[in-house]
Amino acid sequence: MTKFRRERSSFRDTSGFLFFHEKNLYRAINSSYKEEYDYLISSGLYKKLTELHLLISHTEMENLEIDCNYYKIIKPELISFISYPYEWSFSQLKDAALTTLEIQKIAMKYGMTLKDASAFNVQFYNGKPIFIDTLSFEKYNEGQIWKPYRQFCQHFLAPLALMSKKDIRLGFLSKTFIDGIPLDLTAKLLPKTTFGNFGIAAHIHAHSKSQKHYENKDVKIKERTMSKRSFEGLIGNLYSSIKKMSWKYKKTEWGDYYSDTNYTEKSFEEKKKIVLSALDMIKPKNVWDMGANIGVFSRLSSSKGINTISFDIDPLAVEKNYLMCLQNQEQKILPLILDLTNPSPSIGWDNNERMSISQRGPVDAVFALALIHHMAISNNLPFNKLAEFFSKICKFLVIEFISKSDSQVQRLLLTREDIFEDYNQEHFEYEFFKFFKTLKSQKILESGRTIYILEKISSKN
Amino acid sequence: MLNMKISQIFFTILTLLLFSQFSFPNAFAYIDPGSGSIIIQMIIGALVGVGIAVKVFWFKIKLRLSSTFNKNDSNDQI
Repeated sequence: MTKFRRERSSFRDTSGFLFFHEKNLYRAINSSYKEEYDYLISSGLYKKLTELHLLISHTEMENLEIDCNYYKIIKPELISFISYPYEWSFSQLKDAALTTLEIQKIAMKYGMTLKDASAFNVQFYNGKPIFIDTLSFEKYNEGQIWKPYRQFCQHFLAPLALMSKKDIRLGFLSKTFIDGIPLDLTAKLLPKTTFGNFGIAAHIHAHSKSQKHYENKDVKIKERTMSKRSFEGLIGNLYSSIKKMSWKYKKTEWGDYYSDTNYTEKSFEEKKKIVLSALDMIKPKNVWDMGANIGVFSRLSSSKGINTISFDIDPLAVEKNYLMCLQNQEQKILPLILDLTNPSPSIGWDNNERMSISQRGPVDAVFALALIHHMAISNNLPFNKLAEFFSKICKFLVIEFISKSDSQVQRLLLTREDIFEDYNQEHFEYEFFKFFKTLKSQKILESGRTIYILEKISSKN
Repeated sequence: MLNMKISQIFFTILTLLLFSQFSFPNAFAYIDPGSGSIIIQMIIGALVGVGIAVKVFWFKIKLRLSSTFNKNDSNDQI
């Protein structure tokens, strides 16, 4: 029998579970799900969805046995980086929602339906959303309701409506409400004008009222029937309601950062060359670009075929970055929202269901370009804390030091007292060199900035 | 264009009806935190289903009328 370790978030589904064996990820299908799984394959739905890159493909494992009752073991294609809905920009969440509904529409044509529509079942793979839960399908029986309706509304429609109609930052509520934003809260937060929008009025306002109306009602149901036309109408209406949603963004903090820097064209090109030389030197398999803005430097890495996560705190920068990925059909870059001073924590059951950002590392290389002054001065983070954090998440660090005389730093100091005596290059080097050794350091021409290419000092040394 | 306006008016009236509480039948409820979600989806599904049927019906009438008029036009030309 093979030794295995269950994947941390895989415990709710009674149809099967995910497990790791020798660093590979597998999915065990329980005997209770045999009929549905066989139908998924024999109906042609699996083939259709995988051909369209809407569902993750898998291989059936014949020679792997584990010590528990199961029907089959499959090996799904591995997603290199798991991201969560509260890290996605508006359009990423919208595309994930539309992908889920598209799958539901196709499944109906093959006599199946989704029994689960959690936003956590969608991941970004090769630049596009893809459904990762192979066991979320069941046979459709004429007259049945759409079981994951409430879940879909809470996981997708509620945050999208709040982001679109109220404030983009309300999307972060998904981090607190792991099973989706409650509809009564969503209804309270949405402006009254949304009553005039049929999709939001019906699926959120009326839905929330209906939940309240039937709360604790002690009445038995005789039958739950819904014609196929109504079922398809419901899905179609959710699809068109979401398709119409948009985020009319205003200028945010960093949205036009690159037209507002003190780089000359020459120094900007020089910086790019240094980053490219760093990539040639360290040859990373994957890169996390922290404070990536719209991903200019992330693209130096992704264009070399390196899997690159492009993090930024600003939802607008991430949105622009994602739209650019779609436009250019980029597959190796994934833009995500992340506040480095309060990064995604480990949440859910036993604080262990969804991974923190550190748990999703370590990564080969981190870019920290034009970032350190924001952390040290705007957020009072000492260099030793920053150096220690980066040493935990990466092997190589490409980091830019910006001196106090730089106009960007001076701008940060405009509204605060300069209590940052230790903010100087000597102290920066003193703290970072406790954890890293220098492979190369280079001043950027015409800028007074320095880029360091650092390698983590092995704990054995 | 006219078709779109009619469907919009239709949906708005039905949405308003939803909020008037008339649409929540007591007979279908059962003890389940999701019962409100089940009932509302049946109502919305039915409304949208009817809406689609009206649209299809209207489209057919339009098609019939336009083909009749086109026939008359072509007859005139002859």
